[in-house]
Amino acid sequence: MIDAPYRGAEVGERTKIEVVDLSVRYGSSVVLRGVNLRIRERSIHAIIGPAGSGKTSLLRTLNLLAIEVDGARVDGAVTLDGKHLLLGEVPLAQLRRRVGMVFASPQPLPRSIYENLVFGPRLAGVRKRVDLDALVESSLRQAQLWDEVKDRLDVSALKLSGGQQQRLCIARALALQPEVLLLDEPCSGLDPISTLKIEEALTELSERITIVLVTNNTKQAARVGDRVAFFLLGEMVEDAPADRLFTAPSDPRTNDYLSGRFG
Amino acid sequence: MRAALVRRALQMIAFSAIGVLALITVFIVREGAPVLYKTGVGHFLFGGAWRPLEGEFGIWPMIVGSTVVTIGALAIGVPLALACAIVLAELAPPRARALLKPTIELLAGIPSVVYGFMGVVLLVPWIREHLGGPGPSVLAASVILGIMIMPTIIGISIDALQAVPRSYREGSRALGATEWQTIRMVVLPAARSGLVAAVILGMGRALGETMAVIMVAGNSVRVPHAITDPVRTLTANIALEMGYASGDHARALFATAIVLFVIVMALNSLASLARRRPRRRTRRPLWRRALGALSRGAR
Amino acid sequence: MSTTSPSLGRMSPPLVAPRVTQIVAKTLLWAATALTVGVLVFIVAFVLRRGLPYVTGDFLTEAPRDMGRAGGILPMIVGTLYVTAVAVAVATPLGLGTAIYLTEYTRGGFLTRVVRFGAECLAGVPSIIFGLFGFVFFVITLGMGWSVLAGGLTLAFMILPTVIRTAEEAVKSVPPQYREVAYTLGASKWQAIVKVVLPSALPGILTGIILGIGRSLSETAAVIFTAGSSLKMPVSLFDPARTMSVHFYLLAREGISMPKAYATAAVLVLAILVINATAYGLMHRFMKRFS
Repeated sequence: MIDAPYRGAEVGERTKIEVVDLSVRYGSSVVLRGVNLRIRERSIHAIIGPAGSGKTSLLRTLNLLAIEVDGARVDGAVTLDGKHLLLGEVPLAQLRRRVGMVFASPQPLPRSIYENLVFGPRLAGVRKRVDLDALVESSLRQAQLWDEVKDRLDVSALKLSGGQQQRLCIARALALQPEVLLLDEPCSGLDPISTLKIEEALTELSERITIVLVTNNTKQAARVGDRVAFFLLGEMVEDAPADRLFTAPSDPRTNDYLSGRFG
Repeated sequence: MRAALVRRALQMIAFSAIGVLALITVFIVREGAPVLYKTGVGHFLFGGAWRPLEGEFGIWPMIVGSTVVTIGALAIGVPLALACAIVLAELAPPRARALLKPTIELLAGIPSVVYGFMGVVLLVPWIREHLGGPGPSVLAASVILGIMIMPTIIGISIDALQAVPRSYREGSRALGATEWQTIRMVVLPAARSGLVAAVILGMGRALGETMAVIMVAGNSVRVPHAITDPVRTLTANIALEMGYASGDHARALFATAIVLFVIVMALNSLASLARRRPRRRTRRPLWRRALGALSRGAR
Repeated sequence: MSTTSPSLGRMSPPLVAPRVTQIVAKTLLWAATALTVGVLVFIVAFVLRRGLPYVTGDFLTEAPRDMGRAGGILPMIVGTLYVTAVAVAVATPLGLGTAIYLTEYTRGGFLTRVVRFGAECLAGVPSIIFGLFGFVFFVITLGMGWSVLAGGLTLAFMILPTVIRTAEEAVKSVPPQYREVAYTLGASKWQAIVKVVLPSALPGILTGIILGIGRSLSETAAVIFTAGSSLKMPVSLFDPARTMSVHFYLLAREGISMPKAYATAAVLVLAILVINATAYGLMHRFMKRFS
């Protein structure tokens, strides 16, 4: 995977991830119900909705964290390039490398910037120092963090500011050269400038990789999303190209949400 | 596959503590039970004569010895240790706490033989001169054990006191209680179960201590009648004679260990019960009860 | 509740004003604290003052002569290190494995309670019983004789609960997000534990091990019946050994030599203070990191 980045050369409407009739349950509470969603390759698919709408659970299902860590019960189908994830057709470690994830609050590991970045590649078997160095530089550049930290890669990642930490986490996911990047409200709690930098990085990245962006900032979804899906109470209400969803939502609930009537 | 293997291995390791406990129980009982059976449990426990060479095994003097020495240790150690814990958890300014708490924790590691030695060189001669008797005595053992168990009790008590939610204290102070009234009527009742556990664990330590007690207790097999009388505890009985005992005599020492083991296990179970139960009960009712007590106290 | 409050005062004037009670109570509490700390510090100071003058280079590097009346304590230092090393080498993997299993592989439940209760009980077993057990099990039944190995294994069992408890606390205090991060970067559960959880918990784990070392060092009753009290320098794991605590106990109890007893006690106390201070410092740093 590391050696062959960015597979599937032709751009377009090819499906990267397909979610079919997905339901997710924790014990007796249902958090997602009958969701169908097609995520196109090399686009930014924004997912919006109020708290408790199931956005995060969807994201955590796409890399199977929901099952493995949270102990959720999942029904339906999720495919990545046509392979059924829930049937175990993609080995877990491979899946996690192909589908990177960034959490809502920055989660740097308590070690140096460099060590944070090479954590994944090392597990994937990259050993040579030059290869690791190259991965570190390219992923930091892609996350627009290189210029700020290039002289202090051995400093603890915890010393960075919140915005820098979050970009480090993005870079850390990118160091595995993933095909898909899942972001769970990556800009919550960050200042506008950091947010802007992350949005720029995402827009640029979307030329090469598929991005699923959960956000409760509808403006952000409008700014960077190619398509936007609106979730409410565990159901997907609407999924449309960004400009259409924001200008002419087909479901009244979407309209209510966008005009700030709830959420 | 590998993950399942790791899980299995860890599971087996996790049972090591239980396994060791079981192993200890089995071996102590296997060695000691024959004598218990031969002598009869009643006679063994309540018999007043310990003449191992004549095959007569009654450990009543040692049971009394362990009991009085432990009670003495608690009488000396508990008030001081609780006072210390209250000061450290509630009253001391941060800087004093930052100095005192590590000091006490460091001192908790002093070997028990050193405490015993202090008893030998300082306490025993003092008792002999000022209070009479041979010197090594119930009193000497109680004082030394009382000092020894203090760090244990202080440590657990501080944890218990600090676990009391700050809102309890604030609520009480807001009602006009003084700091001391708050401690006495709100904090201490709320932390009661933890404090009880601390005392019980301290008791276990006093009961189980061996070498320090041997050095200061005098070790004569007789029910003591005064606090200046020498005394032998269950632990001392085992350690003193283990060196040369054989046959039934050695087995009788294991039987002594069974008695000690049963008592200590009972104490531990009590302590862990005391620590566990309150969590369910404390929340609201106790808060209200404490406030009730407070208002009663004010009247 | 203060005496200046007219309404409450009228209801029932307290016998002694709360302020006065408070002053008395606080004075008593502080006095008790001063006494407690004073006694503990006095013991250490007394031992060090009496003992340190006799602690010379020769004392630390020579073998004892004439049952310990003359000479040094080198074989005891070596024996102590040897026995303690065995104890730590055995107790650490067991304790750490238990802690990992309890925190990472079970979610509360019956099993956890049983294991934890077992560890708690084990923690309360008097050391003399460990000594008896080690004697029949290791020395007699397994035929190890009085030896470094028998003593070390007995101590390993004795310090196991300490290691389990501190390691469990340490592993538990590693933020759960660290594990998730490791998963999202392609780590398996075991890799997440080894590469992320354990390094983060290391200071806490070390604290437990160091506390265990301290306990091993100061233990007498459990080792005297398992490692023996030979004055010779132990070489192999199957040689008998006399630890410093046992040596000190025998010197003091049998009145062999007071100066040597004080000197041994001083070395022992000093070693334990250093060890506990290290553990305390580590713990402090560890707590600061995660709060």
